[in-house]
Amino acid sequence: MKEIFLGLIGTAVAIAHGAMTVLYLSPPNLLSNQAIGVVKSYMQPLFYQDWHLFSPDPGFSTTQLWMRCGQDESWGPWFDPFSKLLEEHYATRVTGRGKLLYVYNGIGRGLYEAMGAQQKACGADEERCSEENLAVEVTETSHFDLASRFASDVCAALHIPARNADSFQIRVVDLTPKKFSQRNDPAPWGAVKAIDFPKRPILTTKDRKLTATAEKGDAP
Amino acid sequence: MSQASSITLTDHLRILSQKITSAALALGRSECHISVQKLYRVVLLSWFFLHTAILIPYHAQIWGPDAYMINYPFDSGRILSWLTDLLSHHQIAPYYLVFVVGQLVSLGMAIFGFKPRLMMPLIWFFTQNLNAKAGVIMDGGNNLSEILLFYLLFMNTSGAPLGLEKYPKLRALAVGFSNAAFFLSRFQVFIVYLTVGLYKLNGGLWQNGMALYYILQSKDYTHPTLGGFLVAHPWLAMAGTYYTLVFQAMFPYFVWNRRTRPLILLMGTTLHLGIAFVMGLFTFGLVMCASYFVFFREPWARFVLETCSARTPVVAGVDSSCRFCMVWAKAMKFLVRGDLLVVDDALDPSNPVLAAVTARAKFTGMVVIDAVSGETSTGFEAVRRLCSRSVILAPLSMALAVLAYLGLGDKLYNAITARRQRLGGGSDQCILEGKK
Repeated sequence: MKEIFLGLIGTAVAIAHGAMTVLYLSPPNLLSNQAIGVVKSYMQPLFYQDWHLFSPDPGFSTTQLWMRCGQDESWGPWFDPFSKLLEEHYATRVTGRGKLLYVYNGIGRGLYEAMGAQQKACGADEERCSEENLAVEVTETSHFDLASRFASDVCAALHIPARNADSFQIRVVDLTPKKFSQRNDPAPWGAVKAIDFPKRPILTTKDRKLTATAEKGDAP
Repeated sequence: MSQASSITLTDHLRILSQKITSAALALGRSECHISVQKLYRVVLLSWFFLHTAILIPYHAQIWGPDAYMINYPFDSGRILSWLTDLLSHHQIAPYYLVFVVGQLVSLGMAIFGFKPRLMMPLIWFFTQNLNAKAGVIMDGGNNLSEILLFYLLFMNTSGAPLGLEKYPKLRALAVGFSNAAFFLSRFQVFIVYLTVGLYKLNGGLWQNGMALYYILQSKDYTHPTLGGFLVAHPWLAMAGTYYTLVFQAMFPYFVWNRRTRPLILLMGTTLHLGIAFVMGLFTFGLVMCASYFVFFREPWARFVLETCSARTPVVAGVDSSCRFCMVWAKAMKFLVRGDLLVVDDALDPSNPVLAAVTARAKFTGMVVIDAVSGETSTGFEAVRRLCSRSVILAPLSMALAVLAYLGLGDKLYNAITARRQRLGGGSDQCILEGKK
């Protein structure tokens, strides 16, 4: 008899776990609303899951990070630092470049989402909520710190001919495909939105140390 | 009065209680998916290996302390952080390569069946820490793989029934958990498709068939040639959208039916290979295909395992007059574990098992005899069986099985053996043929 009960323990655990999974993934309803606290605390550490996977409506815009390097107010051209990597990813799928692109695209996407969050928080104050002012506010976020670190490294590595770059500027570009009805239009994209962030000097070693210390959470 | 109506309620209750008892006993005793669980372990862990291996050239940019990702501080007050988020600690972060190498080594050992029960917790530990560090590269495939890996910890994936006969209570508990973990793995894949199918049915772009048309215009999820072709032919993109929708809506129901299961798994495989190569979500596409192995039936899994890595020793008789055949046999001796293969001359065998084989079987160029079952194979089947004894040649063995299934194996074998003297540069006259 004991063996039967011991054999059933696994089944009981499976049923309980399955029920938790269903409640966690189900849309808000009377049952899930009651139990959501318990369900989340059980599911989120190890069984977190999100199966939207291009649904209900897929995101199809392309968010890109562009940048340019400058020296003494003389600026180089805007460029997309990941275009070569993207071409290589198109050429061969069986590599880790697709995942590497997640890392780099995450920089621009983070800035774009931070901008969206600032816009949402800003409300209807037109003067304060101008794109220019919001871009300045975003420079205070960790997303901009990350983008600054990246842009500084790229500009330091690239150089402007004969002289080292001393500053950089970041632009986030969001490209929306043309609607089906506009497919014969000559323009390559349906909508293009560009957000320019303020120019910044290239991070020094001291700046980096301060940023890194803050990231580790034990800043003074 | 009919016989059925004469059964009392007490009888019905007794029958019910007997059925419940036998089901409960079965859960604690029966191990119905031994080969499926083993095959599933090998496939899923191989995916983890591939996932990490292809990222090695970029290891510093993915897991390094200076990777371009936002580092969240280590939460020392959270117990789970000490188990799954160690790379967030700035003193441990520089040693990320230990985690990468540790994961790959433990994966390699578990894939080849070296102490898999010991390796599984290590794999889980290394994987969780690496994934937590590189959260930005995680997609739906990684999410699913993490959950399936956790269930795999409790599954008997050895390919043999659990021992523990001396400890029936412990055995009942272990078998119960193994069965539960196996069922939960299937349930997890089922719920992925149930959820995503329901979400998609509510999406306007999926309903009007334009989802793929727009997704493939994003630079992140397209391919200039293949994606561009679908965008240029919107009817094809619409067919692809509806194919996805129909498949994902049908999967949760059709996968449980043994008759419809092969079809739905085949549909899913084509869809996810398309996602892997057209949309560029390579590892996502592959892990979804890998998860289908949990739905394999026991005979399928046994066939695949037998095809890829048979463990019974064989005696191979090779036509010694054919230099090509001899080179092949030598290569096999090098690739197959010593105790699994004995190679002998088919013409003048010293091995008694081979000597007992009929003369006709010897004249096919190669004959392989299973030393345990005594089963004799000749020609293409003999080559396939020989390959199945080598772990390295497992993929070739599987490909040969597919060729045999398609009826191309013997044709290929005959085409090669007909030219074996020319291929091997041996004497003009085949001794075997001469004797014949």
